[in-house]
Amino acid sequence: MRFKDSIDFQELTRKWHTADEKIHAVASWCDWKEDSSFYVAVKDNISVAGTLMQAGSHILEGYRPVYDATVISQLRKHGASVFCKSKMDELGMGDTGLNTGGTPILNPYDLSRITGGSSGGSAALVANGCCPLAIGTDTGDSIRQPASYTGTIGVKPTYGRISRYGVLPYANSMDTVGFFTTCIEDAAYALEILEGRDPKDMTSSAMLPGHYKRSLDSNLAGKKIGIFRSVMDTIKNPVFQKSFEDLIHHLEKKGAHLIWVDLDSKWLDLVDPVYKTIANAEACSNHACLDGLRYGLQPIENTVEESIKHARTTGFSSLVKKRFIYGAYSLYEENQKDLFEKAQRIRRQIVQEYRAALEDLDVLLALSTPDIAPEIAEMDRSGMQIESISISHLKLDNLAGTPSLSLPLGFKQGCPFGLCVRSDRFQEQKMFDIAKAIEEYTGFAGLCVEAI
Amino acid sequence: MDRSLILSLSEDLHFSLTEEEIQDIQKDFAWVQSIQDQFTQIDVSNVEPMTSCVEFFEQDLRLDRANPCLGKEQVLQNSKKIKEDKILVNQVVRSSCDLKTR
Repeated sequence: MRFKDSIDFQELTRKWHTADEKIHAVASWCDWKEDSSFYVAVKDNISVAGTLMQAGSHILEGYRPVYDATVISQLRKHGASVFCKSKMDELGMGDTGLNTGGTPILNPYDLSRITGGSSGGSAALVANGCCPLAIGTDTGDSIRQPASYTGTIGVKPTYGRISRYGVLPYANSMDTVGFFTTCIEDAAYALEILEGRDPKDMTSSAMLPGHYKRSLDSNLAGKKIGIFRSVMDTIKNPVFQKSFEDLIHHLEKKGAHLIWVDLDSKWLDLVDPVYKTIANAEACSNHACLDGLRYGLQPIENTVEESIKHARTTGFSSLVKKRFIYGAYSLYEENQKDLFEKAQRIRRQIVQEYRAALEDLDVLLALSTPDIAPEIAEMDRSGMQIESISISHLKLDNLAGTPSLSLPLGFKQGCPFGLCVRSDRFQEQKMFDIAKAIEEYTGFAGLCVEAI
Repeated sequence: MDRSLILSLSEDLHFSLTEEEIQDIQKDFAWVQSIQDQFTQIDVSNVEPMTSCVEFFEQDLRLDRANPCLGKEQVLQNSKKIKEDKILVNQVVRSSCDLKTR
């Protein structure tokens, strides 16, 4: 087994608590087993029986799931022990790690900066050297963006690779379970552990599981590597540009064929609006069941209706309520055809264009984010705006269900930034192979704050 | 987005909004309107809506057989008050006029 946790157990638990005091990434502690093969953090929207699950929201206060998610059973089958539930943005709706229903999550590389989100807690714990593997979910870059900000490897597999049974839904047509590690070998092994058909999740894939770690091949000769020019032309940061250019020169020198990829800006400009329209609508529908009656807040009022209203008024943050309002607006009868259904039609068109580009390639490369993690003090959490393609390109893989990962490429001002490697559906082996070659070039295998 | 529409939506969603939240939503509504404008400029009338990453023909469906997996105790485990197989929701009674005979 690749994961190593060969340090003293007492030392390990002390490290966890110290790390949490520094970065506030733990939502709740689990009952871990002392003799486990390795320890895993799990995002707090994934059910672990008997352990508090709040998903960053007060509406789930005190809730303890009565069953394990399938991914938890898979982890335990392979000797893992879940040591904590990691903090997240409320109900998966956020990309900063600040709206957690408690203290914000801090970036281990610079405590004045965000981790990103919504899987910020999982990213921070791996980046801080607390565990070799942490589970997250990715609906609109929620693993890959914090991976870039925290110098970790964040993997979003093909939609359906990993069962979503026991995972709190956000936008179920895009929700994907994924994970964080510090090296590609661990990432390949993690996917082997977690993937597989699950009769309890009808969207889980019946594709035969892969042997990704054993089959890893970092030979670049003859590989067709796409350079996503439509995205790279929008990134102006000179440190980022230089790192990327040095990388592609290296890839060429090693025998890879580089192909410049442009997608029509007409479709690229619509990626973020389409994502937000669909995600907000699906979220407000999925969370209609959070009524505070059967579990969670359970307030006492004059009537059942008032109890529900009290729970939902005080249980959800302003940001989440705003998203629900916009989601409900797009589902209103008079708007549904022109907003929600139109977004679904445009989604298919975007996906067709995108997958046509991926078809002829082994992988497609672009920088994951246009800059390092922003400072907390600079964050404008008030407004919703359309994101530029330099940020929203990661959502292409959520719309299309294609696999994608972010791995560390370089540093600026002591903070890491990442490179996005993506491939067509069910082509994770190609993605891992090229990522391994890139990791060998950067030398960042095993990168974490402790290692620096 | 006018105030009455926001209040109507929040009623449908079973929560109240503060004055600050209403103003915030109104301020950001320009964002939704810009999306609507962008969408109207695109003709995708001959394109089928994409409802999921997994198309129906890719799914390996099974017969829909009821398969109860959680017992009564588990379902009720997170409720603060239960009686037999029911969840109890306390009702505040302010005066004898509130009591209704059923």
